[in-house]
Amino acid sequence: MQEREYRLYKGCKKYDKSIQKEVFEGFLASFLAIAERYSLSQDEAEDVVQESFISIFNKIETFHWQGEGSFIQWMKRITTNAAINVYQKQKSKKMVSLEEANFLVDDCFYDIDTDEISQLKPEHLSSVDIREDDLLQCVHALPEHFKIVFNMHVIDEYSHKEIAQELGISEKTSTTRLFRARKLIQNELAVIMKKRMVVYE
Amino acid sequence: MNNEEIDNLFKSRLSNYESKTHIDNDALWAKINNNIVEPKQGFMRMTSRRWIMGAIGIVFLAVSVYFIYSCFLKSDNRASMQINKEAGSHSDQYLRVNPAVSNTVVVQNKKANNDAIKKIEMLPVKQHELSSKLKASPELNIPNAKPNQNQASEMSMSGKVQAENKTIEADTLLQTAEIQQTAKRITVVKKHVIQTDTVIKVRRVRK
Repeated sequence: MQEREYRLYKGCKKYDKSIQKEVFEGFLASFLAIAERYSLSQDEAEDVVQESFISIFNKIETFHWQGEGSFIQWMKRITTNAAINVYQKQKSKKMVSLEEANFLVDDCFYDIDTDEISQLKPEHLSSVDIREDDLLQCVHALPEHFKIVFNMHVIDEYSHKEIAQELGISEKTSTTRLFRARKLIQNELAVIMKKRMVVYE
Repeated sequence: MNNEEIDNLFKSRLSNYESKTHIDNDALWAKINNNIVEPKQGFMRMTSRRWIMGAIGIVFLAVSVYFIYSCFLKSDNRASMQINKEAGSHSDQYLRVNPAVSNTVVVQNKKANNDAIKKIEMLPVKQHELSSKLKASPELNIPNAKPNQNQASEMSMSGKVQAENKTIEADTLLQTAEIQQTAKRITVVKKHVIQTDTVIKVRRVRK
């Protein structure tokens, strides 16, 4: 695995077209999944992937090999940053009405079924077949500003400080949004599992 | 489920998740491939800003070298030189001087008495006068020569100066100064601006 990754890195550094295409074909689905996870439309997700690959191939000399996984991690980080940039641009264009904002707040604070959460146990996860699509459904069910924080912190391993810098919010806001996102995720997950268990029964 | 379990679940399942969405790979690759810019190699890689910075650097380097070189020559002018007493009655010593920087050269014999300290002062003179003197007499005796204006007082104290080569050119000014041991000071007539590699041959003559 490491040899392949290093070979791809070296090939990209030499601007070898065949290696560049191998990288493109090997990581396209993975990068597309990142873009989609940030809730972008299909066209926007493709644009993000395109921009990411162009950045990767053109900025390859800024990357320094640091062992196994470093190249893949670097490429993923570029894709994530591209997705975040698109999200930021969307956010600046998007005007939220007062009613819509109230709905979002209500949705965040009150639409949590505590009974379902309490019933959800880790052992249920092994007994019920949780698919990636189910998890993505939970993520997509989150409001935009919770979803991006949850994605960045939980899946892409950004720290709260980095999230605060990227999104222009305070670290405390980031922490709060993550807390609420987890609650909503738990609720959504409980609903999905409950449905699944009913089907199995 | 606590927060950690939620995080682990999503992290493990979604961090390496691959999208199942079908897209036109070839079309997307064509777009990407058209936008890959391979950097230029070697000197062509340099931007105009780097060229300008490079030029400034070279100029700075040249000025620095000139400054250091000038300082070196200046110190060379002041360099002490020991006249070899062991080598018989005539021992030749060569001293590199740069009259363009300083008109004074000190020739010092540390082992001898203070009289052995010789001082050669190089005074500026107009080139046509020097040329005429050199051409007129290969053995240039300064007391007999007519000094011009400000050099009079210096000339009167000078010793014996010879032009080694009869056909010496005024612009090369390679001269031999024969210094008597008792003479404390002689004057060598030199052009004001002179090549830095000028060699003055200093000969110590035993009385």
